[in-house]
Amino acid sequence: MGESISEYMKRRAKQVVRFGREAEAASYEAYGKAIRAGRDLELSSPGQVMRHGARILQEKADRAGAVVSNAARHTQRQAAEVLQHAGRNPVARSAAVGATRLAGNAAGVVRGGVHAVEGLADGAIFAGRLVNPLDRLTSPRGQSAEEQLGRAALNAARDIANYTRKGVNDPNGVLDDIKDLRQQWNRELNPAATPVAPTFAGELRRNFDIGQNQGEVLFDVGSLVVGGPAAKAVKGLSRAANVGNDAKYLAQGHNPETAAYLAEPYPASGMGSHFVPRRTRLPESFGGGPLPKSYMDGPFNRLAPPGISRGDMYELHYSVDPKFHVARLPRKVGGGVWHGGKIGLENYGLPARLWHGSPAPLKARIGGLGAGAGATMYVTEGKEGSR
Amino acid sequence: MTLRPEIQFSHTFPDDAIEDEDDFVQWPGRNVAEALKGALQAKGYRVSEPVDAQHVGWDLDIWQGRKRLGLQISLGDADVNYLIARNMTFFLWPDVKLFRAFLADLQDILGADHRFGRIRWFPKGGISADVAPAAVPFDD
Repeated sequence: MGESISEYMKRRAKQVVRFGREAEAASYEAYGKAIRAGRDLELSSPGQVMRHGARILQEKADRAGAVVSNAARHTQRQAAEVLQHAGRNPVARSAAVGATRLAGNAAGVVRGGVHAVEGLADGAIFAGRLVNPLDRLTSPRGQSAEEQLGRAALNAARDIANYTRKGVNDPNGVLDDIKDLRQQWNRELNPAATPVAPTFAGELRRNFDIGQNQGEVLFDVGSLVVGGPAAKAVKGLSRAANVGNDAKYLAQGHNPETAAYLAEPYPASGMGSHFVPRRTRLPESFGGGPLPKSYMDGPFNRLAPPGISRGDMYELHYSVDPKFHVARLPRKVGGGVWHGGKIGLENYGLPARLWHGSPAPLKARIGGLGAGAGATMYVTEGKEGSR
Repeated sequence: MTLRPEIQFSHTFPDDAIEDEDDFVQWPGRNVAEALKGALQAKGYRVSEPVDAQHVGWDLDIWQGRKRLGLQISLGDADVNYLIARNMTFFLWPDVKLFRAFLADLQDILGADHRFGRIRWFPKGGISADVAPAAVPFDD
C-alpha cells in the first residue's frame, strides 16, 4: 500500500530534523577548522550556524553530483567508442545487426499481441454497447453504438463506392495504389529495401524497427493459424520480459542469488501448471488410470508460457492453483522457500483462474469465447497485473 | 460440519532434496511422502508410490476400496510445510463420511509420529485466505 499523507509528513519532518543536525555538525566542523587555520568565520546566531551548515552540505552534494555525471559521461563515451569499434569490424557488425533484428522480431510479436487484444477489447466493448438497449439513452446524442455503426457503415460504403468509381475511370490509379502499398510493406519489412544508416547505432535502430515489423506480421499470420482471437496470451508473451529481470525479484525481498535464480528462464522440462489437474483419473469404468500423457502434458493442458521466468511461472501457478503455496529454493542460492503468500500474491477467482490457467492454444481453440473473454480479461488484466 | 483438509506442519525429517549445479534433481519431501504412505497402509488404505510433482512437492494416490482420496505433500523449510488432503470420490455425491474418517486417520498419524509438529488445520482454501487455523481436522 502507498504512503498516506500523514506518513509522508512524518517522514519529511524526520528528514528535516536529520538535515538540521547534519547542517549543524557541518557548521561546527567548519568553525573548528577555521579557528585552527586562523581564519575568521562569524557564526553569531543559530540561524547563521544552520545556513552555513546547509551551504556546506549543498556544496558537498553538488560535488558528488558532478562526479557522478562525469562518470556517466565517461561511460557514455566509452560505450560509443565500443560501438564504433564494433561497427568497423564486419563480423561483429553483421552479428550485432542480426541479433538486433531478432530482438526486434520478439518485440514485434509482443506488439502484435497487444494490438490484437486492444482491437478485440475495443470491438467487444462496442459489440456490448450495440446489444445494450439502454445505450441510446445513456450516450450523448448521435454517439450511441448503433448510430456510430450506421455512420461508419455509410462512410465505408461511400468510400468503397468512390474508390470503385475512381478505379473504373482510372485503372492505373488502383494499380499505383497497390504498388504503393507493396512498396510500403517492402520498406517496412525488407532490410534491403531501404539504405543502410550512416552510423552503426542508426543501423542497429533501423534493423530493430524492421525486425519489429516482421515480428508483428509473424504474430498476425501465426494467430490466424491457431485461431486468432485468443490473442494469444499476450500476458504470457510479455512475461518473457522478466527473464533476466532480477530487479523484480529483489524488490520482492529475495536475496540477489535467489532473485537471479527466479529470473532464469523456466526450464523446458519443468512441470508447469495443468489446466486439467495431473491428479485427475479416468472413471473406473474406463480403467481408472491417469489421462493420456500426450494430453496431460500437451500444449492444450500444460501451462508454461514460452520464455517465462521461473519466478513468474511460480507466481502464475500460485495464482491459478489454490493448492500450490510454497516451493523450495536450491542450496546454491542459499536455500529457503518461495512463498506466494509472503510476497503478497492472491489466488484468482474461478473465472480468472479458468482464463489464466488455460494454455494459449486451448484459449485459441475456444473460438467463440475469444472476443468476449479477451475483452473481459483485457479490462481486468490491468487490475490483476498490478498485483 | 466443517472439514479442514489443509494442514500446515513443521518436521524434523532430513532434507532429502538432491541438486546438481543447475537445479533440483529430486525435489524435497519424498521421505515424508514415504513415511505417510507406510502409516496410511498400516491403517488399511491402498497407497500409490509418491508421484513427483516437482516444485509443488509430492502426491499420493490413496484408495479405500474403490473410492479414491489424495494427499499432496509440499515442503518449504522446517517450519512451513503443507499437506493438502483431497476427496476424489464422485464429485456429484462425494463420500464425506469417508473423507472425515481419512482426516481423522491423518490426525492420528501426524500425532503419533514425533517427527511431525505444530500441526494446524485449515478449511479448504483457508491457507491462501489466511483464515485462522484449528487444532483439529473437523468440528462435530
